[in-house]
Amino acid sequence: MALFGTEYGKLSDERLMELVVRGDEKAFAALYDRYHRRLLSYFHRMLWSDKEKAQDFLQDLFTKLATRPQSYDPSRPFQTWLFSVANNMCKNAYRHEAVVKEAAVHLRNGVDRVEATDGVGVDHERFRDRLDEELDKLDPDHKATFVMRFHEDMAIKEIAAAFACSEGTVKSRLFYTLKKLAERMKEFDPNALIPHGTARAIRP
Amino acid sequence: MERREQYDPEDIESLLTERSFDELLSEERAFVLRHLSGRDEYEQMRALLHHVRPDERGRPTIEPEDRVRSNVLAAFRAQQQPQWRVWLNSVAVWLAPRDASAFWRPALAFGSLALLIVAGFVAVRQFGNETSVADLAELKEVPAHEKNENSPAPPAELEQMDTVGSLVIMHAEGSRAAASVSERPTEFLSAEVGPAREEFHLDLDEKKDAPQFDPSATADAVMMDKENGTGATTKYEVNGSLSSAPPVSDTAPVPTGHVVTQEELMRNQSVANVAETAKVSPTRKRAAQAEKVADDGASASRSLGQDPALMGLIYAGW
Repeated sequence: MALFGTEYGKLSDERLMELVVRGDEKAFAALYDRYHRRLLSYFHRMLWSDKEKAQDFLQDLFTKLATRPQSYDPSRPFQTWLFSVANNMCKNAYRHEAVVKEAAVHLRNGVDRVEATDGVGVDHERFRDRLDEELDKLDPDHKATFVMRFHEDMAIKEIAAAFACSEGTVKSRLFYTLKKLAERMKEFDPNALIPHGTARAIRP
Repeated sequence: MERREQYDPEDIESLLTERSFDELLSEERAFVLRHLSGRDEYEQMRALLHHVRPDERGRPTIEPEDRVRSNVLAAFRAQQQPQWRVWLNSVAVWLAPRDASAFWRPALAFGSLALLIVAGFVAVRQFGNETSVADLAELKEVPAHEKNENSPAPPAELEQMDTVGSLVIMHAEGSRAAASVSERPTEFLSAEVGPAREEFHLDLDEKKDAPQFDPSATADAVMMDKENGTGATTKYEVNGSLSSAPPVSDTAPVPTGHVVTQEELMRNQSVANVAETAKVSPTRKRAAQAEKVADDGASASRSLGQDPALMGLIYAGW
């Protein structure tokens, strides 16, 4: 069956990976276009908000995918597998950092920031910076779980698959992470930041 | 009655998302208070959770650079490139480097290859020569029954005609060990001997008075009878002339016109250089015939050198 350019966007990740294994460059490009922003954001959050490092990691990840597409396990969802690879890369980065937390503090000063245009924006910016700072102090697994859950909006099941652990472990990590962050960010008035009526259904 | 807990500690996220502390049911509140300190902590966590998600929406999106996409696509293309083409490219770069100073590598490689080829060719040729010499040496082995250690040194020059099917001309001059041997097939011999035979037949009567061939200097058709130990000499003569001999052919019976004695064969060490088929079999046949002739009591036998027909033929052939 001939595949036209418009059909690649409709194909599932797993089907695209089958085409990638066969050497289909357009399928590979479609996968890149589908995930590069999310992965770049993930790396940016995980790697101390270092944009250059995040771009390098993104390139390394897709280069690995290009050179060894056979390493993908078709029995697993592609997104889960992709984020598990990304998480392992971040773990390696943490190991190679001599003083991770000091580097995080150092990099904190050079974080890419968006200039706030009003008072609410300033509050959100301050809260965001503080949250990132506290996240960097967490255990890498807890931090990655938190980022995947609340930043990448991944389901508990997907996170568990990415970490190769049980769903209960993921829920436990999320609970204690939330509890720790709430305690450390007491000085912020959360009630002032709660957007009224924004409670939404979360993914199970 | 103890009620079973409906929530796991991990499920507190759903409570934080959906209900405030005041909205919790009694069972749910009991469950929350089992894991949290109180209302304040629950509300702090709920506020944080409600704030995190909208905060993420407001985060600035980070766009990767175009080079990242081009690099990963280039890596994918390079991976899909056939390996033989990659190998060929490396060979081409090695054979024709851009830098002229790097040409010594292919030059050295090809020079070494040429040297190896030449050395191998020479070695093969040398090995082939050794093999042929070994074959000749093997042919030089003379059967034990034909050996005669007491035989004198070979004559200075001996020309021997094999009436069976080959003409063997041997030269052995003094200390020179070289011997040239030629073997001719029966047909060739027959065609060549034919005219000579007629010429000899015509000149036979005229040359009766011509100087005879020295029997002592040539093969004398003498064979020592060692079996009886008497040392008696038995002479075997050639009966009949060549003119009366049947035509020479492969199927023709062996003529009895000339018998080459074993002593002749012993004297000529170069007989071994002749092909085995042309050397051994006729020799044995001649020996057997010579014995037969001896039994018949060839009183009229003559020496080989005294046979004018044979000598004429030898002269014509020479």
